[in-house]
Amino acid sequence: MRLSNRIEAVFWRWTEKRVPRSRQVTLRHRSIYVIPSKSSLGFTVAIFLLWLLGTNYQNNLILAASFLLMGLFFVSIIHAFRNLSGLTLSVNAPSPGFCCQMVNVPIELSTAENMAAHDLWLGMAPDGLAQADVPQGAAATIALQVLPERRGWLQPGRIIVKSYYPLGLVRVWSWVYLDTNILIYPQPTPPTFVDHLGRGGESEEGARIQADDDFMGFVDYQPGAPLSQVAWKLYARGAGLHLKQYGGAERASFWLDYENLTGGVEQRLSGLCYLALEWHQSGRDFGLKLPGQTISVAAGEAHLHQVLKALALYQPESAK
Amino acid sequence: MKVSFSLSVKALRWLLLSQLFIVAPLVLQLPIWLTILAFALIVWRFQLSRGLWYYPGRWLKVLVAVAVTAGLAATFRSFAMDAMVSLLVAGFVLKLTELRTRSDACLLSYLGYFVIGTQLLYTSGIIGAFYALVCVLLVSVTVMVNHAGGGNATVALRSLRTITIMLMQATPFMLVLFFVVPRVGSLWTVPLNNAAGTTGVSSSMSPGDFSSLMESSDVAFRATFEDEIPEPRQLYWRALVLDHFDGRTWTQSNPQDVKARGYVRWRDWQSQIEVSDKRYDYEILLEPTDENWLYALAAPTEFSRDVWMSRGMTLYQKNLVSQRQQYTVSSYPSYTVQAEGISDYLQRSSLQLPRNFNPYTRQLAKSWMAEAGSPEALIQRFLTFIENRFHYTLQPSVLGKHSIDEFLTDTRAGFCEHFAGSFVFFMRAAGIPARVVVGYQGGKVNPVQGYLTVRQLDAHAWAEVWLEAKGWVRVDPTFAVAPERIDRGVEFSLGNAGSQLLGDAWSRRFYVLANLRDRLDAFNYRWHIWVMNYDGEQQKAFMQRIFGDSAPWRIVVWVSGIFALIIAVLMLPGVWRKSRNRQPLIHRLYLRMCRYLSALGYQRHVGEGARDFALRVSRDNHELGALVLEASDLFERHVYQNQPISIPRLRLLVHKIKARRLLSPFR
Repeated sequence: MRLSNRIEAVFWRWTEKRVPRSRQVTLRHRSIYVIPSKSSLGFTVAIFLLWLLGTNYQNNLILAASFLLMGLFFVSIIHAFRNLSGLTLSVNAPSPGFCCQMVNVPIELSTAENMAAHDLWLGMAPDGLAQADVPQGAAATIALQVLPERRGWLQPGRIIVKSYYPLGLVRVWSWVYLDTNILIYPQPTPPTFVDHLGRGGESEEGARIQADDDFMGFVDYQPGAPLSQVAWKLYARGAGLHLKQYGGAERASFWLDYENLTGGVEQRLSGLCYLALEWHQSGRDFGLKLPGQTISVAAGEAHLHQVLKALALYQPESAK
Repeated sequence: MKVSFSLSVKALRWLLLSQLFIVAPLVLQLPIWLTILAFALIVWRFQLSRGLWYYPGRWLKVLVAVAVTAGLAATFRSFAMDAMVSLLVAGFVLKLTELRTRSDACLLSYLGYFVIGTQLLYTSGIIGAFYALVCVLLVSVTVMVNHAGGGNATVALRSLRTITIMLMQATPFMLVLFFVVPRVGSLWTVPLNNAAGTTGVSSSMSPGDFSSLMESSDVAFRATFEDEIPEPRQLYWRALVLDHFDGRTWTQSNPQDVKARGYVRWRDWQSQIEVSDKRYDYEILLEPTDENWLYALAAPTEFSRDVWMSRGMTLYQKNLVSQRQQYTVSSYPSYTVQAEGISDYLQRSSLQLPRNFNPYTRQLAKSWMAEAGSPEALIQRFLTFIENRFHYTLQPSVLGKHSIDEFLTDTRAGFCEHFAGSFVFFMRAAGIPARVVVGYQGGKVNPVQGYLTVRQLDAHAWAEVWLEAKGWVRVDPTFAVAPERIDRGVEFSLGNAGSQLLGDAWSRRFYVLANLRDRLDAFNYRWHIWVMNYDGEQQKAFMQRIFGDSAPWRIVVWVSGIFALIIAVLMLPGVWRKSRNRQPLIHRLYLRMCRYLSALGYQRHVGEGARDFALRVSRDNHELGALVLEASDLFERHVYQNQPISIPRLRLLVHKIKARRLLSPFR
């Protein structure tokens, strides 16, 4: 078992060496593998039976038919190879994802001019294959899904590109290693607070964190506004959709503080991630305090991304 | 990817279409009920795919399967090729009731390839080959469409195109394999037809046998002579010697029976046949007969290694002729055989007569013999007798128990089998050893290729008598009655009404039709000589010629080289792609316009848009600019907005710009 693992590792390293990682990989003969598929067995049996029939009855036409099918087999290998050859896979800055949730890795497929690629199957794992066709002179984008297991930078593993085109007689495939990094945020989970904060909001900070104040009044509903800002009570009274407006310039600032949460490093980061998302959604300004790192209070998508990125890439002291 | 994908409607329809094509020519071989069932199943499955009809219940399916099995068992008692083909077709169409997944359809398509192979057992002409190729194309398209899973609207068209290209590319591989893969002989024998010997000369001669043969214009064999073709009256193609008569039927006696291989072989024929004078070398391409005897002119002296001579001086081989077969023979038309005498046994068997039949003939023979004095005189008298009083017809009256008595005294009309049979009977009754020989007489020269075509309607029976010091001498009593039958062919020996009974009456009446048939036949003949008849021996010779040697390693090296060459040509992506995929017409027209404009002094800058360029030209030269603007507009509308435009208009504009170039002051 251990030996086979080691052999496997050596093998994968070898395949990776044949086609070095890059943002854009074009499949060439160095990285394309061809093997007869399972259904070619039936085809071969048909060829053999025809040959037997032709031989036994000394019928040249039947022999010719069997040889024609044999030729078809050879030609289908060439067609299968050419279908994959020249196919270019490229990946452009995939958007970040959260740990333990499927992340889409958009892959652009394109072929050399006046070539097409049919019946492609792509996947990161052997079971999650997606089908794609690249018409002649066009490009196609396919989203591969990957399940990140930890936060931080994720480098997608090998992608298998395979095809049984044209007749299903041969399996042509390639392992592609794309050079891209996907930022994986921690998995958002509801946080648990340090004891003295959790008790009924008496503490100053706790009150601030849990407060829902700085309420300024109502404004008309704007499509696209976060649902959490909708004044549901008003709506229930039949007054129509309104949004709760929170204090603008006078808005209190909130801090996401690593030290305020309990649990292990990952647990705390997950909690912070959860809060950051919540607060961003409810339109608050907030800052982040991590051991040895502080991000000042601000709002907006870019800020949220900055905060989440800090959480994703945080390295605890012990690990440094 | 362990998912079993369901079968797409499109793939199913292609499958049904190919099944229809595959089964259609096999109809002749199938029992009628199976034909009906096959087409019904295909139609039913088609209707199912349209959502009109329903899936059958499980019991109905089982019932149909059991019924088909029982039907096959009842129809075919022995396991001949027909039975195998029927079984195959039954399975091929019955699977439609249980066809759900893509892999089912895939396997069924592979079975289809094999069924196409069985088509070729029955037809081997060029038309049949072409038809089979179409079937292969259809099945391959089915496989491809099925594999693509139905996909988008163009998948069928695209598959058809791809498969056509692939089949063309596969052809060189096929040719190399065809010429090079060694031919292993027959591995086992299964008779091709259930009812053996449906046509052709059979091993017995009863009244009526020959008239059914004469209704057929099927080719029996073709003969190509090295030099000139002998006179029609020398063309007696011997097949069998029938020397036993039971009162009704002439058969081979045991020592003459070529089917009982042991004793019949004549080992010391060389010492007993004396030949002289002219010699004919010829090659015979025999149609399948499912019998083991061959045809040759007397006296055959040289023939292939695994062909033997029987005691009746006919040729035969060990295996049945189940496929079209070619063999070469040399014959001497002047010969004497067994002139020194025949064994007692042979003498006895050549005088055998059944008791209690034809008492009048026996008595007549004895009295004539006494009057004539010599066998030769007796033969002459008999021939004169029938020449004057008998006539030749294909519709003889039915004869009773004493058939020869009735024939000689009463009906006096018949054809070869009557004349030959009664002659031999008469001779034997007179004490002269005699025997019936059957085969074909004559043949028609193909004007296109110069070979001789012998058809079933040329089937003939004649006689041989053994005379002291002369050996076996051929006597054809039919010749005495209808000499034109021998000299010109059976169709000239009958009146108009009579010749209607012959096979292929139509084409013999119309010259154009006959001419067309001659050409087709010549074409088929060449096809058979070159393609169908390429066997182990020819292969060896071919390899010797091409590769200089037939040593396996040399051939392997050569074939690998040729394959590598073919693959290299196919893999070169650029070579023919470039020439084929030229730029679209509109781009070419636009570029041509740019060339003309640059001759006029307007050079399009790199990266300058069509519109900008046109505007620049029109600022400088309003008249020319108008043309360029319109052309650029057409070009842009087509390329960027994908609108249909008038290409002739664009062509005209470009042409006008070209014309201006000629007027240009710049030149």
